[in-house]
Order: sequence, then structure tokens, then C-alpha cells
Amino acid sequence: MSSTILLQSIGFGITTAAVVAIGAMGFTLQLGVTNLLNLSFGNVMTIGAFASLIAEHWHLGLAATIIAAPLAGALVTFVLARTLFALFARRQGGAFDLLMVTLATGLIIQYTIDALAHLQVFQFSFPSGSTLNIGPFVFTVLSLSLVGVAALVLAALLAVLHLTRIGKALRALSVDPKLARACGVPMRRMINLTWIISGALAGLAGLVYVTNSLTVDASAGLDFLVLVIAAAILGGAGSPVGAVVAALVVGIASEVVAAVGGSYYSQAAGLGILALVLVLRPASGVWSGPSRDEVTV
Amino acid sequence: MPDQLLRVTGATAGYRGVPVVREVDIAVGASEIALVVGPNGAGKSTFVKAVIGELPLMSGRIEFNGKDVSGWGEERRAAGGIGYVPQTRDVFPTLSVIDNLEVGGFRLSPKECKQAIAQMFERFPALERLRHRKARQLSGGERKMLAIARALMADPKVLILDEPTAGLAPRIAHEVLEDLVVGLAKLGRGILLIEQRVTLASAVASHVTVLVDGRVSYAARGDEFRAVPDVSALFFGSGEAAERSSWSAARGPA
Repeated sequence: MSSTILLQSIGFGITTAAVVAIGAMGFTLQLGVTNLLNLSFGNVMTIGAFASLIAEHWHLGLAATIIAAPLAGALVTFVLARTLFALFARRQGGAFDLLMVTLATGLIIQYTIDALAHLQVFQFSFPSGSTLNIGPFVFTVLSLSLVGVAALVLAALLAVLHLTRIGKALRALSVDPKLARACGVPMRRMINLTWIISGALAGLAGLVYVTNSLTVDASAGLDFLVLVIAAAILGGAGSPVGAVVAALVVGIASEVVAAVGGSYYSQAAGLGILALVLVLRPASGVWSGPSRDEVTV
Repeated sequence: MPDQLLRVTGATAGYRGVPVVREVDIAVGASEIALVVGPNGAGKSTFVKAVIGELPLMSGRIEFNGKDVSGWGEERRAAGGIGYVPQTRDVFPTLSVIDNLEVGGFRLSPKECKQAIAQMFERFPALERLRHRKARQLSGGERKMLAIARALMADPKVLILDEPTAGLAPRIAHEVLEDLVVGLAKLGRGILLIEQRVTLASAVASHVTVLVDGRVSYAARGDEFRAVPDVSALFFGSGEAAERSSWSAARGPA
């Protein structure tokens, strides 16, 4: 591989990292607070992308197109959590049972979208803007905007988690829900808030994904989920900064692998990183800190 | 009795329908330290879980400040004024000292919370110096101090301390009981103290309840308990030989 292609793929990787980072921040927040590995997260990304697509198709304007994705993501995630996930959690479902429930939920969403969309791949028109050369990398205005969105999301999430009392309560809850409850922290309200924020981030990640790839189908989010989970686990559950740094690693690795072996292998890069993390650093990521058995849905 | 802040009557609690503690009676008044002791497996932790609301009662009643709180959940009891310091996992290790305190005062208004933090720093000056340090970086004594300060943020009327000296060096354990716990009781709070260090803890107790096999095997005023020549006999005697002093007869449920 020539150095030009390598540098180009790193540039693409930075943009991919922005998409992965937004998803991974939502995923890691959800995993950190609820301790639930939610495999329907990728499908909520797809719903966010389709919501924006519909808003664009109906010519509702740019603001509505942008808002539609996080709004749909938050709404769907909240409803799923309060109905399906809560139902199985009440039946004393353990972490594995709930994992299966989220997997099944994701598949139901995917096939429902497939049925409604007649297996079509949809085009999304978004002006990519002029091309900019920054050092050895080539970016478009649009791809740089996506990196900016990811940076803004990180700043906002850090501000909420570290500067507000609600954010501190969420961090406390992710460390020790029992103690947080004994402190009088309203669990249900905090967990609902987590579903809403993380769902909105899933929807936003879906929009950013479709803005970058300009096409979307029913399996788009699910394909991207591998990279999101790899970044969230590499970065450590509940750590937005870790998720962003890990997203950069995963994003660049997936694009470099795709440049070398073809786009088919970009998912393999995510899976490879995930496997390496689990094998080499078993005490890191979701397994770090005090052990938590309780899934708080 | 209006001076009884917490009154547990005939409490039976356990897991999956199997009772672990049976018919336990305990009362804690203002400025009193009610000590619960017993051998491992006696049901002390189960009893605490029932009192804080983590575990529902199978039968019996818990009154707090004159109200029946038996049906209240854990959050409501905490918000209502029952503070709790667990034996382990008593602070949020990844949060700083000041953030731990802020979470402890979550139910307060921002202004009240700020005032309460200032009061805690006044009461525990060591914590002010460590305000930005992560809780996991504190020593055992500092950590316990933070755990108690965190519980005090909500200004509880009753504070439940589950083995606060566990894992502490004897000198620090003595300081925690003599200074911290006694100091809190003097300020008018009722303390329900669960302890393994019987001699040390009974020295500060207003009254002592011994749990054996999930039942109260002995209950007495602190001075009566301290006069018992062989305390170990209370621990390993049979539940049927339960002994009740004049104090427990007077304070027991009607």
C-alpha cells in the first residue's frame, strides 16, 4: 500500500471515528449506568438515520432533518427500555437473558424496517462542501463538520457528567447503584434520563453515519454496532473520553484494513480489536472497578 | 414514645420466602447508640437491609419518627431521614471527596447542599484538604470519615452504621467509635450500630442487642451488658435461652 493511500485511509478513519465516537459515547453511558449490553443500539442508529431521511423526503427543513434523528432515537430507546427490557428485568432476568432480549429486539427492528422499506437502499443527499487539505490529509467541509459534532457531543457530555449534580449522580449510579439508592438518588428518574440521552446519541450517530456514507438500509446501524461496541469496551464502560480515544483507534484501524483488504474487512478490524481487548486486558473496560451484577433497567 | 426515632417491632425478613431474622425488636431514641452484635451468620446484615428498605419485611413493623415506614422503599426512607453507611462499598471510589458529598446531598437544594458541604468540612477538616482527591485514594480511616460525612449530608435523624470499624487498625477503630459515633449521638441523632468489635463498641453503646441465629438472644442497657462477666456465652448460647433484662422488657413492643 502506498503512503498516499495510507494517509487517505487515515483521513477517512478520522471521519469514521467521529461516527463511531458519537455512538460509543451513547453506548458507554448506557452500559455504565444500566450495566446492560444493549445489542439493539445499532438498530436505534438505523431508526435515527431513517427518521432524518423521512424528514428530508418530506422537505421539513434542515433543522427538522437534524432534530428528527436524536428525537426518534431517544423516543424508541425510552419506550423499549420501559416496556420490553423492564418487563424482562422484572421477571428477574439476568444480564445474559436481557442481552438476548436486546438482540431479539434489534432483529425485530431490522426486519420490520426491511419489510417497510422493501429491502431498498436509500440515498441521502447532503452537500459535502469543498475539499480541504490539512497536512497530509484530505477532508471535506462535511467530514470536518462531523468531527466537530463529535467534539461538541464529548464536551457537552463531559460538562453534564462532571459539572452538574445530575451528572454526578449518574456517575455514582454507574459505580454503585445500591449506595446511590441509599443516598436518596431517584433511580428510576436517573435511569430514564440515561435511556433518553443515550438513545438520542444513538439516533444522532445514525444521522452522522448516513451523512458520511450517503446511503442507508435496514442493516446499516447493526453493521456499525461492532465498531461501536469495540470502541466502548476498549475505552472502558462509562468513560466518554475513553470511548472517543478508542473510537479514533477503531475508526482508523477499520479504514486502513478496508484500504488494504477491501471494505468487507472493516468490520473484521472492529471484531479483531474487540477480541484483542478481551484477551489481553481482561481486567479493563467493562470489567474494571467494583464488580456489578445488577442490571438496572 | 415520642423520643424513639426508630422502632422496629417483630421484624421478620429473609430471602425467597425463607426468613433469616425473626421477630426482632429494636428501638433507637435521639442521642442513643443502639448496638447490634452477634456471631457471623446471625442475620445482622439481613436485619440492616430490612431496616433501610432494601429487603421487604415478611412480617412486623418499622416506625420512623412516629410514622409506619414498613412499606416505604429504600430511596424514600433515605430521603425521609434514615441515613446508612454500609460496611464495604461505602463511598463512590471513582468520584472525588466533594462529589461524594454532593451525591450524599442530592435531595437538598443547591444552596442547602453547598451549606451542608461547608458544615462537613468544618466538622471533618481532613476532608477539606482532600476535597479533590478520588475516594479510592483515601486511607481506611479517611474513607470511613467520608462515608459518614456523605451519609450526614442529608441530615438524617437516624444513622445506621454497618460495621464502621471493619478493616481499620485498632487505634483508628477506637477513634471512629469514640469520636465520630459518640459525637454524632451527642448532636441528637439516633445511631443504630452494627459491630463485630463487641468490647470496643459496647463501651459507647446506650443499649445492646445480641442476635443469634436470626433471633434476639439478649437485650440490655449498655451498662448492664458491660457488667456481663462472659459475653461470649451470650453469643454461643441457644436462642431458646433468650435472656431479657429489665431494660428490654420495658422497651419492648406493647
